[in-house]
Amino acid sequence: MTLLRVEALVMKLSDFTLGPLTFEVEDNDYIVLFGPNGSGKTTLLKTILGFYRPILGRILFNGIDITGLPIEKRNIGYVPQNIVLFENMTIRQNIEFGLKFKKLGKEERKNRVKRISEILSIESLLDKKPRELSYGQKQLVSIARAIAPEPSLLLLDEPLSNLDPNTRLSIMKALRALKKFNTSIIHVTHIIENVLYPDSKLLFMYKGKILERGKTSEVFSNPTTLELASYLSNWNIYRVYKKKGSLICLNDRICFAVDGERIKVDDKATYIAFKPVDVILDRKIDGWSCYEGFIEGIQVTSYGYLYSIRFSDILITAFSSKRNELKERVRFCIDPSKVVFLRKGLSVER
Amino acid sequence: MKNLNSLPFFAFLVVFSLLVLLFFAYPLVLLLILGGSGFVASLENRSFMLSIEVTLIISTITSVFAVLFGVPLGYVMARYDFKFKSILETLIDIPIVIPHIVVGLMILLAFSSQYGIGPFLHKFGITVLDTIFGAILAVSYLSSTYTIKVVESSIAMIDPEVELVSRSLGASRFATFFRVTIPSIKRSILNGALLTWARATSEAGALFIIAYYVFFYRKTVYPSPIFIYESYITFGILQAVKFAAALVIIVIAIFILFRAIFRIRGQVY
Repeated sequence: MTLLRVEALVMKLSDFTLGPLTFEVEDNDYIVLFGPNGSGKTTLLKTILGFYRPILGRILFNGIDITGLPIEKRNIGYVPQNIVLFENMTIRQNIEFGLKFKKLGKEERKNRVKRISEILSIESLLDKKPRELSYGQKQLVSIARAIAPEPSLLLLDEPLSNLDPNTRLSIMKALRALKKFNTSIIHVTHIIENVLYPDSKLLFMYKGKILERGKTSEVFSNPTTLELASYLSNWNIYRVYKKKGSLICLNDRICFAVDGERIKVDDKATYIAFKPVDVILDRKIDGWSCYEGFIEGIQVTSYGYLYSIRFSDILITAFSSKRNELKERVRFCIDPSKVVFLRKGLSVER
Repeated sequence: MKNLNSLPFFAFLVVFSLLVLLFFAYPLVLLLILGGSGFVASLENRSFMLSIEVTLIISTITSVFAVLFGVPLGYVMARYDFKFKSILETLIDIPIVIPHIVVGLMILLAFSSQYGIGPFLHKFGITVLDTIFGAILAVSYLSSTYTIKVVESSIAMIDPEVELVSRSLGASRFATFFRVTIPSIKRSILNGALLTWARATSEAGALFIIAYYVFFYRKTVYPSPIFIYESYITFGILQAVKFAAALVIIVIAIFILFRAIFRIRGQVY
């Protein structure tokens, strides 16, 4: 069932315009709001929360128009980007805070705090004050406090940012545990690695608009807009130099033979892109477009190396776990089936 | 080598700081030495104790009002941006720059029987000249700014997201203000109130005009700074110094006690 429906929403914030946006959140959905800083993710979150009033459009929650409803009447949980605990209260009081407004009895509140703190493994922190907690522990409490009143929708604003790798993993584990609460979640992030589930729905935002939407894994492997592909790090993106039949060329020398169906479908596409992992070094593969170039730059990653390979007037980024040397001549092959076609997303909203 | 290089800098800091501290301490120590011997005698002086009582009533009520009205105003100044905000900021600062005697005149003029809302108040028997009410008005005008400023700066330091989270948890604006914001700045409010109280206790300039003496329990009583001035004019400096030392000891004792109590009770987070 549809829990939240954002309908032709427009919000203006000095010189920034959000929208028009339309999307839906179903019961128990986990939606990723993905995009660069300044794309309007937090503004959208705070508009759903009720902090900003849209100038156009409406927000329906369980079928009821809540566009003009005060924040406190919406029953939408919120975990802000900055961790803000109530410093004058203990952790227990922080988590219990929202339950008091639910008019729950003392015993019920106690049980709720116990259950949540067990699920998030923060029982030992309950009698402490926020100032005694580490950053990661504070984030866990922030999540516990938001989920305690069991809102139907929980808004998470970059809950995994600014965390060291171990703390990040423990918070990810806690976020996955939120499944037990039957709450729909909108998770704002600007980092792909922070997405919890590959099959979740993803909305890619850019300059206040939703440019792409779909299953996270599909959107990430088949971006259709120049904006998303440019934002996904290290993708090879080139303006199409020439289209001829089933042949797509980047310049006079690099051409891909792709099937005609795809070219027809993406007739408006003026860019093509492929991932560094779809460029294979030092192996000739039948059916792939193979060339030779020399290594102009090397970037170390935690899994291997990203090589910038010069081939005539273009640079191609390739990934390999094998160590090659600068200026080394290498053979590289591009998998034509992994090449995607892009168009400028801001001119055409999906 | 490094230590030797930093030596002249530290010497500069120490010498100049010491000079200022000495300048603060020297007159106070001398006052306490010369006047301290008359402390007990001063406490036994009925007129002096009445003047202390009147001053404490004026300054305490002033502090309470400063908190009551200053906290919402401090909140507005810290949380909202609006047109002409700078005018409001200037208005809040004005009491600090206007000479105190002038403030006395202003309050007298504003609430006298002839001008402004004065005639209306007079109908209900509300007068400001030589009354504790008048003294409170004058002293409030001069010292409330301290509470407003302290509250404003401490609210500005709290992330507004705290209030947003509170509201998302079901707390109304009022509940958020009283359960989250105010408890978070409790210590600042107390500090602001204490500053206002101390400032109000020491006020003399405005009181010269508006409440040189007040009617208190059918007696005419001088507020304590004016009592000390009167002693100085009538009996000379050595007598005035005894009362002055007693006033200083009482005020500082209350100041320290107040701070100690709120620390002990864990008001500081």
